[in-house]
Amino acid sequence: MQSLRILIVDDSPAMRAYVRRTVQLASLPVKTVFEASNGQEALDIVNAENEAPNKLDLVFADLNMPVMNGEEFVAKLRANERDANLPVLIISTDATQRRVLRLRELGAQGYISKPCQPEMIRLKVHQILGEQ
Amino acid sequence: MTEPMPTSDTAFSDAPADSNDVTLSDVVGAARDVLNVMFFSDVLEDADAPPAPRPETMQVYVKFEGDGVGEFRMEIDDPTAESLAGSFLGAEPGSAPSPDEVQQVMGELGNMVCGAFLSRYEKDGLFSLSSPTIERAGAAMPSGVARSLQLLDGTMELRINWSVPVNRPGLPG
Repeated sequence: MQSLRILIVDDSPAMRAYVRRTVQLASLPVKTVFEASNGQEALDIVNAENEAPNKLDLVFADLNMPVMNGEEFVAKLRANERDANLPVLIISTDATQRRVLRLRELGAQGYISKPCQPEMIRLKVHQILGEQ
Repeated sequence: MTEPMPTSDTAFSDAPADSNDVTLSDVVGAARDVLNVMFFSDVLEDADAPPAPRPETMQVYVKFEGDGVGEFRMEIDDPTAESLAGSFLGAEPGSAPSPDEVQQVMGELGNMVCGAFLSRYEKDGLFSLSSPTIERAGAAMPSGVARSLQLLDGTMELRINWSVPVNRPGLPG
Protein backbone atom coordinates (compact mmCIF):
# COMPACT_ATOMS: atom_id res chain seq x y z
CA MET A 1 0.00 0.00 0.00
CA GLN A 2 1.31 3.46 -0.91
CA SER A 3 1.90 6.19 1.69
CA LEU A 4 -1.45 7.66 2.57
CA ARG A 5 -2.69 11.22 2.90
CA ILE A 6 -5.72 11.06 5.13
CA LEU A 7 -8.31 13.48 6.49
CA ILE A 8 -9.97 12.93 9.89
CA VAL A 9 -13.28 14.75 10.35
CA ASP A 10 -14.78 14.86 13.84
CA ASP A 11 -15.96 17.68 16.09
CA SER A 12 -14.37 16.00 19.11
CA PRO A 13 -10.62 16.70 19.40
CA ALA A 14 -10.41 13.64 21.66
CA MET A 15 -11.91 11.43 18.97
CA ARG A 16 -9.62 12.88 16.29
CA ALA A 17 -6.67 12.07 18.54
CA TYR A 18 -8.04 8.56 19.05
CA VAL A 19 -8.43 7.91 15.31
CA ARG A 20 -4.95 9.31 14.65
CA ARG A 21 -3.45 7.02 17.28
CA THR A 22 -5.51 4.05 16.15
CA VAL A 23 -4.38 4.49 12.55
CA GLN A 24 -0.79 4.38 13.79
CA LEU A 25 -1.49 1.29 15.93
CA ALA A 26 -3.06 -0.36 12.89
CA SER A 27 0.31 -0.01 11.11
CA LEU A 28 -1.19 1.81 8.15
CA PRO A 29 1.41 3.68 6.05
CA VAL A 30 0.12 7.17 6.80
CA LYS A 31 2.28 10.00 5.52
CA THR A 32 0.12 13.10 6.15
CA VAL A 33 -2.86 13.63 8.45
CA PHE A 34 -5.28 16.54 7.97
CA GLU A 35 -7.97 17.29 10.53
CA ALA A 36 -11.33 19.04 10.35
CA SER A 37 -13.98 19.59 13.01
CA ASN A 38 -17.03 19.53 10.70
CA GLY A 39 -18.10 18.73 7.15
CA GLN A 40 -17.62 22.26 5.85
CA GLU A 41 -14.03 22.46 7.09
CA ALA A 42 -13.47 19.04 5.54
CA LEU A 43 -14.81 20.20 2.16
CA ASP A 44 -12.50 23.22 2.31
CA ILE A 45 -9.51 20.93 2.90
CA VAL A 46 -10.57 18.53 0.14
CA ASN A 47 -10.96 21.47 -2.26
CA ALA A 48 -7.51 22.81 -1.39
CA GLU A 49 -5.69 19.47 -1.39
CA ASN A 50 -7.34 17.82 -4.35
CA GLU A 51 -6.32 20.70 -6.61
CA ALA A 52 -2.72 19.72 -5.86
CA PRO A 53 -0.87 16.81 -7.50
CA ASN A 54 -0.82 14.79 -4.27
CA LYS A 55 -4.47 14.20 -3.61
CA LEU A 56 -6.08 12.81 -0.48
CA ASP A 57 -6.34 9.03 -0.33
CA LEU A 58 -8.96 8.49 2.37
CA VAL A 59 -11.36 10.39 4.64
CA PHE A 60 -12.43 9.19 8.10
CA ALA A 61 -15.64 11.03 9.03
CA ASP A 62 -17.98 11.21 11.98
CA LEU A 63 -21.71 11.72 11.42
CA ASN A 64 -22.90 13.91 14.24
CA MET A 65 -21.16 17.28 13.83
CA PRO A 66 -22.19 20.95 13.99
CA VAL A 67 -22.21 23.27 10.92
CA MET A 68 -22.25 20.36 8.44
CA ASN A 69 -22.86 16.77 9.50
CA GLY A 70 -21.33 13.65 8.00
CA GLU A 71 -24.24 12.84 5.69
CA GLU A 72 -24.26 16.32 4.15
CA PHE A 73 -20.50 16.14 3.77
CA VAL A 74 -20.64 12.85 1.84
CA ALA A 75 -23.50 14.11 -0.33
CA LYS A 76 -21.66 17.35 -1.23
CA LEU A 77 -18.43 15.49 -1.83
CA ARG A 78 -20.14 13.11 -4.23
CA ALA A 79 -21.79 16.01 -6.05
CA ASN A 80 -18.35 17.14 -7.26
CA GLU A 81 -17.17 14.89 -10.10
CA ARG A 82 -13.53 15.41 -9.14
CA ASP A 83 -14.11 13.88 -5.68
CA ALA A 84 -16.71 11.32 -6.61
CA ASN A 85 -14.32 8.45 -5.93
CA LEU A 86 -12.49 9.78 -2.87
CA PRO A 87 -13.03 6.97 -0.32
CA VAL A 88 -14.95 7.92 2.82
CA LEU A 89 -15.00 5.67 5.87
CA ILE A 90 -17.63 6.67 8.41
CA ILE A 91 -16.80 6.05 12.08
CA SER A 92 -19.83 6.72 14.24
CA THR A 93 -21.80 5.60 17.25
CA ASP A 94 -24.96 5.43 15.16
CA ALA A 95 -25.01 1.88 13.85
CA THR A 96 -28.70 1.41 13.14
CA GLN A 97 -29.38 -0.47 9.90
CA ARG A 98 -31.31 2.40 8.33
CA ARG A 99 -28.44 4.81 8.91
CA VAL A 100 -25.88 2.45 7.40
CA LEU A 101 -28.10 1.88 4.37
CA ARG A 102 -28.59 5.61 3.92
CA LEU A 103 -24.86 6.25 4.04
CA ARG A 104 -24.22 3.54 1.47
CA GLU A 105 -26.77 5.16 -0.82
CA LEU A 106 -25.07 8.53 -0.36
CA GLY A 107 -21.76 7.04 -1.44
CA ALA A 108 -19.77 6.25 1.70
CA GLN A 109 -17.50 3.27 1.01
CA GLY A 110 -17.34 1.93 4.53
CA TYR A 111 -18.87 2.15 7.95
CA ILE A 112 -17.43 1.33 11.35
CA SER A 113 -19.50 1.65 14.48
CA LYS A 114 -17.90 2.84 17.69
CA PRO A 115 -16.59 1.20 19.76
CA CYS A 116 -14.01 0.03 17.26
CA GLN A 117 -10.63 -1.65 17.51
CA PRO A 118 -7.52 -0.77 15.47
CA GLU A 119 -7.72 -4.13 13.67
CA MET A 120 -11.21 -3.32 12.40
CA ILE A 121 -10.00 0.01 11.02
CA ARG A 122 -6.99 -1.66 9.38
CA LEU A 123 -9.19 -4.28 7.71
CA LYS A 124 -11.69 -1.72 6.45
CA VAL A 125 -8.98 0.55 5.05
CA HIS A 126 -7.38 -2.36 3.21
CA GLN A 127 -10.79 -3.44 1.95
CA ILE A 128 -11.67 0.05 0.69
CA LEU A 129 -8.32 0.94 -0.83
CA GLY A 130 -7.96 -2.53 -2.30
CA GLU A 131 -11.10 -1.89 -4.27
CA GLN A 132 -9.70 1.29 -5.80
CA MET B 1 -39.07 -1.52 52.30
CA THR B 2 -41.29 0.13 49.69
CA GLU B 3 -40.31 0.56 46.05
CA PRO B 4 -39.72 4.21 44.94
CA MET B 5 -42.68 5.62 43.04
CA PRO B 6 -41.97 6.40 39.37
CA THR B 7 -42.36 10.08 38.54
CA SER B 8 -44.65 11.51 35.88
CA ASP B 9 -41.88 12.26 33.39
CA THR B 10 -40.65 8.69 33.44
CA ALA B 11 -41.88 7.22 30.18
CA PHE B 12 -41.46 3.73 31.54
CA SER B 13 -43.70 4.37 34.52
CA ASP B 14 -46.43 2.11 33.17
CA ALA B 15 -44.18 -0.27 31.30
CA PRO B 16 -44.01 -3.91 32.27
CA ALA B 17 -41.05 -4.79 34.46
CA ASP B 18 -39.43 -6.93 31.77
CA SER B 19 -39.26 -3.91 29.42
CA ASN B 20 -37.18 -2.04 31.96
CA ASP B 21 -35.01 -5.11 32.36
CA VAL B 22 -34.36 -5.17 28.62
CA THR B 23 -33.47 -1.47 28.65
CA LEU B 24 -31.16 -1.88 31.62
CA SER B 25 -29.32 -4.78 30.06
CA ASP B 26 -28.93 -2.76 26.83
CA VAL B 27 -27.58 0.27 28.73
CA VAL B 28 -25.12 -1.81 30.70
CA GLY B 29 -24.16 -3.86 27.63
CA ALA B 30 -23.52 -0.71 25.60
CA ALA B 31 -21.33 0.75 28.36
CA ARG B 32 -19.47 -2.52 28.76
CA ASP B 33 -18.68 -2.69 25.02
CA VAL B 34 -17.48 0.91 24.80
CA LEU B 35 -15.39 0.68 27.97
CA ASN B 36 -13.84 -2.63 26.96
CA VAL B 37 -12.91 -1.77 23.42
CA MET B 38 -11.96 1.89 23.59
CA PHE B 39 -11.07 2.55 27.23
CA PHE B 40 -9.44 -0.75 28.22
CA SER B 41 -11.68 -0.89 31.28
CA ASP B 42 -14.39 -3.26 32.41
CA VAL B 43 -17.65 -3.25 34.33
CA LEU B 44 -17.07 -5.34 37.45
CA GLU B 45 -20.66 -5.16 38.66
CA ASP B 46 -23.81 -3.11 38.20
CA ALA B 47 -26.48 -2.17 40.68
CA ASP B 48 -29.43 0.17 41.23
CA ALA B 49 -28.32 3.78 40.90
CA PRO B 50 -27.97 5.83 44.09
CA PRO B 51 -30.78 8.35 44.64
CA ALA B 52 -28.68 11.42 45.49
CA PRO B 53 -25.98 13.28 43.53
CA ARG B 54 -22.45 12.63 44.69
CA PRO B 55 -19.75 15.28 45.17
CA GLU B 56 -16.69 15.54 42.89
CA THR B 57 -18.45 14.25 39.83
CA MET B 58 -19.26 15.48 36.35
CA GLN B 59 -22.44 14.87 34.43
CA VAL B 60 -22.53 14.32 30.68
CA TYR B 61 -25.82 14.44 28.87
CA VAL B 62 -26.80 13.69 25.30
CA LYS B 63 -30.27 14.32 23.90
CA PHE B 64 -31.61 12.12 21.14
CA GLU B 65 -34.55 12.36 18.79
CA GLY B 66 -35.97 10.46 15.85
CA ASP B 67 -37.82 7.18 16.31
CA GLY B 68 -37.76 7.90 20.03
CA VAL B 69 -37.06 11.11 21.95
CA GLY B 70 -35.19 11.34 25.19
CA GLU B 71 -32.00 11.97 27.04
CA PHE B 72 -29.02 9.95 28.20
CA ARG B 73 -27.10 11.04 31.28
CA MET B 74 -23.87 9.78 32.71
CA GLU B 75 -22.40 10.79 36.06
CA ILE B 76 -18.81 9.96 36.77
CA ASP B 77 -16.28 10.53 39.55
CA ASP B 78 -13.41 12.89 38.74
CA PRO B 79 -10.63 10.33 39.40
CA THR B 80 -12.48 7.76 37.29
CA ALA B 81 -12.93 10.27 34.48
CA GLU B 82 -9.24 11.16 34.55
CA SER B 83 -8.18 7.53 34.50
CA LEU B 84 -10.50 6.64 31.61
CA ALA B 85 -9.42 9.72 29.64
CA GLY B 86 -5.78 8.72 30.07
CA SER B 87 -6.50 5.24 28.73
CA PHE B 88 -8.46 6.59 25.77
CA LEU B 89 -5.75 9.06 24.78
CA GLY B 90 -2.91 6.60 25.36
CA ALA B 91 -1.32 8.82 28.00
CA GLU B 92 2.13 7.78 29.17
CA PRO B 93 2.31 6.38 32.73
CA GLY B 94 2.70 9.24 35.20
CA SER B 95 1.25 11.86 32.86
CA ALA B 96 -2.33 12.98 33.38
CA PRO B 97 -4.64 14.43 30.72
CA SER B 98 -5.59 18.10 31.11
CA PRO B 99 -9.04 19.03 32.50
CA ASP B 100 -10.10 20.05 28.96
CA GLU B 101 -9.02 16.69 27.59
CA VAL B 102 -10.87 14.86 30.36
CA GLN B 103 -14.06 16.77 29.53
CA GLN B 104 -13.67 16.11 25.79
CA VAL B 105 -13.14 12.40 26.35
CA MET B 106 -16.05 12.12 28.80
CA GLY B 107 -18.26 13.87 26.24
CA GLU B 108 -17.17 11.32 23.67
CA LEU B 109 -17.75 8.47 26.13
CA GLY B 110 -21.30 9.71 26.78
CA ASN B 111 -21.90 10.05 23.05
CA MET B 112 -20.61 6.54 22.34
CA VAL B 113 -22.56 4.84 25.14
CA CYS B 114 -25.77 6.63 24.14
CA GLY B 115 -25.28 5.73 20.45
CA ALA B 116 -24.37 2.14 21.27
CA PHE B 117 -27.43 1.84 23.51
CA LEU B 118 -29.80 3.15 20.82
CA SER B 119 -28.25 0.87 18.19
CA ARG B 120 -28.75 -2.13 20.49
CA TYR B 121 -32.19 -1.12 21.67
CA GLU B 122 -33.70 -0.20 18.31
CA LYS B 123 -31.64 -1.71 15.47
CA ASP B 124 -34.03 -0.47 12.78
CA GLY B 125 -34.46 3.00 14.26
CA LEU B 126 -33.10 6.31 13.07
CA PHE B 127 -31.91 8.79 15.68
CA SER B 128 -29.94 12.00 15.79
CA LEU B 129 -27.88 12.83 18.85
CA SER B 130 -27.05 16.26 20.26
CA SER B 131 -23.48 17.19 21.01
CA PRO B 132 -22.62 16.08 24.55
CA THR B 133 -23.00 18.70 27.28
CA ILE B 134 -20.89 18.61 30.43
CA GLU B 135 -22.02 19.89 33.81
CA ARG B 136 -20.53 19.75 37.24
CA ALA B 137 -22.66 17.58 39.48
CA GLY B 138 -24.89 19.18 42.03
CA ALA B 139 -28.28 18.93 40.43
CA ALA B 140 -30.10 15.71 41.05
CA MET B 141 -30.05 13.30 38.16
CA PRO B 142 -33.44 13.23 36.42
CA SER B 143 -35.67 10.22 36.78
CA GLY B 144 -35.51 7.35 34.35
CA VAL B 145 -34.04 3.92 33.92
CA ALA B 146 -30.74 4.03 35.78
CA ARG B 147 -27.83 1.84 36.68
CA SER B 148 -24.70 2.37 38.72
CA LEU B 149 -21.56 0.65 37.42
CA GLN B 150 -18.48 -0.39 39.33
CA LEU B 151 -15.52 -0.21 36.95
CA LEU B 152 -11.89 -1.20 37.26
CA ASP B 153 -11.22 2.56 37.47
CA GLY B 154 -14.04 3.69 39.80
CA THR B 155 -17.77 4.26 39.55
CA MET B 156 -20.19 5.76 37.07
CA GLU B 157 -23.96 6.09 36.81
CA LEU B 158 -25.97 5.81 33.61
CA ARG B 159 -29.54 6.99 33.12
CA ILE B 160 -31.92 6.87 30.16
CA ASN B 161 -35.04 9.02 30.01
CA TRP B 162 -37.63 8.78 27.25
CA SER B 163 -40.07 11.64 26.64
CA VAL B 164 -41.40 9.86 23.54
CA PRO B 165 -40.37 6.23 23.70
CA VAL B 166 -39.76 3.97 20.75
CA ASN B 167 -43.05 2.38 19.78
CA ARG B 168 -42.41 -1.31 20.20
CA PRO B 169 -44.26 -4.18 21.81
CA GLY B 170 -44.15 -4.08 25.59
CA LEU B 171 -43.55 -0.34 25.81
CA PRO B 172 -46.07 2.47 26.09
CA GLY B 173 -46.30 4.34 22.78
